[in-house]
Order: sequence, then structure tokens, then C-alpha cells
Amino acid sequence: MKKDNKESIRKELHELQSSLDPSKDTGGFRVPDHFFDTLPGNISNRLSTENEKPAFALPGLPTKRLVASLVSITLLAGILFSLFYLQRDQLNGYADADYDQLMLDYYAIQFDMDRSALYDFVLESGLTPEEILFELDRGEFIFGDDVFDEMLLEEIFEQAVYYGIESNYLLSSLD
Amino acid sequence: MFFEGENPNYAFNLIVRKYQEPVYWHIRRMVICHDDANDIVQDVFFKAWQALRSFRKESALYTWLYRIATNEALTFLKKKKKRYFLPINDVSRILEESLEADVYYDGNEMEKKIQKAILKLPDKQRVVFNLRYYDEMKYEDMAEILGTSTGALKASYHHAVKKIEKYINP
Repeated sequence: MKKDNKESIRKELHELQSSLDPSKDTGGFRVPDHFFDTLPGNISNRLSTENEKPAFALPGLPTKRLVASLVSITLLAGILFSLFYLQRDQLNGYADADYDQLMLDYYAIQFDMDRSALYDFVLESGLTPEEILFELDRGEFIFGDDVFDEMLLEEIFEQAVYYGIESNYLLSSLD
Repeated sequence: MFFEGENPNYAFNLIVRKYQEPVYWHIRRMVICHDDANDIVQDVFFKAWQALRSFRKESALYTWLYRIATNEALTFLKKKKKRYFLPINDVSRILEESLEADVYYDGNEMEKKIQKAILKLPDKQRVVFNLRYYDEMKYEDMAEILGTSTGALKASYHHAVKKIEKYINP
């Protein structure tokens, strides 16, 4: 790992008139004895265990991961479509108590879903960050006032950070 | 790269041995509790193994691992907030309790005070501060990990230092 010169870090702190001194501050954390001796073995065991799990496979489809990715994308698209449909109904005065339940369901799925499948899908799709932004930009729902828009925006920011895109750049691109 | 050799498991094991400590400490400083950090570091290397074929060789391996680790740690904290119905940038109280309760923490009074001050920062600013202050990382590498300009990172770090200073020397 390329470390910066300790002196330059201290100088920077000095310029900020700070009393902090990294050489006197280890943070105070420690690990159980031999933790780093056993960690590689634990990781290796986990890789072996996961690799031995029976894979769900459909004939003619390339990989389990691709299937999982497509299911995740379809699920997400379905949920979003349903929500926007319901939102429109609500505006027209057709919403009922089921709407609250759907909101709770949406929260549950949105927060618990494993985004790694989505990331894998995007990685495998070969889309550039600009293309991802373009895809996101097509959604007209991004700059609304309600909670769903905020949550969606947060999700998008997470993806943007994951792919190394600045949130300010993302915002300006979507604006 | 790693899959071109005869024994990719061996090559990956070497990667784990080389980077396990910095990756673990980066995560630990974010999530505080050793048990949580232990789970997350294993997740990180598991995901790295799965995604190794997609690894873009133009970036350094360690910045790539740090990026995965940062993402996993932030996701973990986010889930924690949801679980406790906490405001989006306020998980410091829970983490402070973890710090007090963790048997694998034995910082002195000043170290603990600094940690508590760091925990009051927003999560992403904590990442910036920890990478610079504890990992002594160059801004250029941090920019690659966090996808932010070096100027923004410097500003964030400077703000973090001021906030911590104000907390420990009111």
C-alpha cells in the first residue's frame, strides 16, 4: 500500500492547528490472539463451502448468477412500476389502506435485497458509467417530492459510489 | 491474471494474507465491533474472489479491495440504522455503545475520546478521516477508492479534523 509520508500528514495537521498526532494514536483497537493467523483459513473454508453448494441451473442459460441478476432486475422493475401506478391512483383518489401495506413491503424488499446481483449484472453488461447514468436519467421519477424518490435516489447514489462516480457529477448529469 | 496460473486458490490465499490486516482495520474502524468486522472482512474477500475476473487491472488491487471494504462497511451501517430506525447520519450512539462494550478495545482515555469524536462524523467523512489519519493514505489513492476528487477529500478531511479538535478541546 502506498502510504503518504508521515511527516506530510503531521505537517498538514500542524497547519490546521490541530493537536492530533497519529504517531501517538493507534485507535486502541485490538483483535483476539492469532486472529490474523486463522483468518485466511476461515476465508478459504468459506470459499470451499460456498463453492460446494448445489447450484441452481436452468438448461440453456449461461450462469446461475445471470439468472439471479435478471430475476433481481425484473423484481425491482416490477416493484417500481407497481409503486408508480399506485402513486398515480393515489393522486386520483383511488388509494386505500392496502397502499400502506405495499409501502411496508416495498421498504422490506428495497432494504433487504442483495444488491450484489445487480452490481454483477451491470458489470457483466459492460455498460460504462455514462451509459448507467443515461439509463438512470430516463427515469422521470428521480426528482419528485415523496419518500420513494428519496430512497431511490439514495440507492442510485450507492451504486454511483460503488462505481466511483461522484454524487455531484451524478446530480449535475441528471439535472 | 490470477486465473491464468495453475492454482488460483493459492494466488488468492496470498492476496488474503497480504491485505487482510489493512482491510480488516479499515472495516473495524468503521463498524467498531470486532465480531462485525470479522464477518464483513470475510464477506469482502468472498466478494473479491467472486469478482476477481471482473477486476479492472488498471486500478491497484489494494484500492479495489478497499473500495469493496468501504462499500460493505457503509452498507452494514446503513442496515444498522434501518434496524434501529435511526436518522440517516446518526448511528454514533449505537457505535459508542459498541466501543464501550467491545472486549477487544483497550484504548487509553485520549484514544477513546478521539474515537468518540470520530464517531460523531458522518459515515463518509469518517471513511475519509480514517484513511488519511490512521492508514496514512495518499489523497490520490483515496480518490480512486471513494470516487471523489482530491480537492473534495482534502476539504472533507480538514473539516473532520476541525470537528474532532473542537470535540476533544472544547
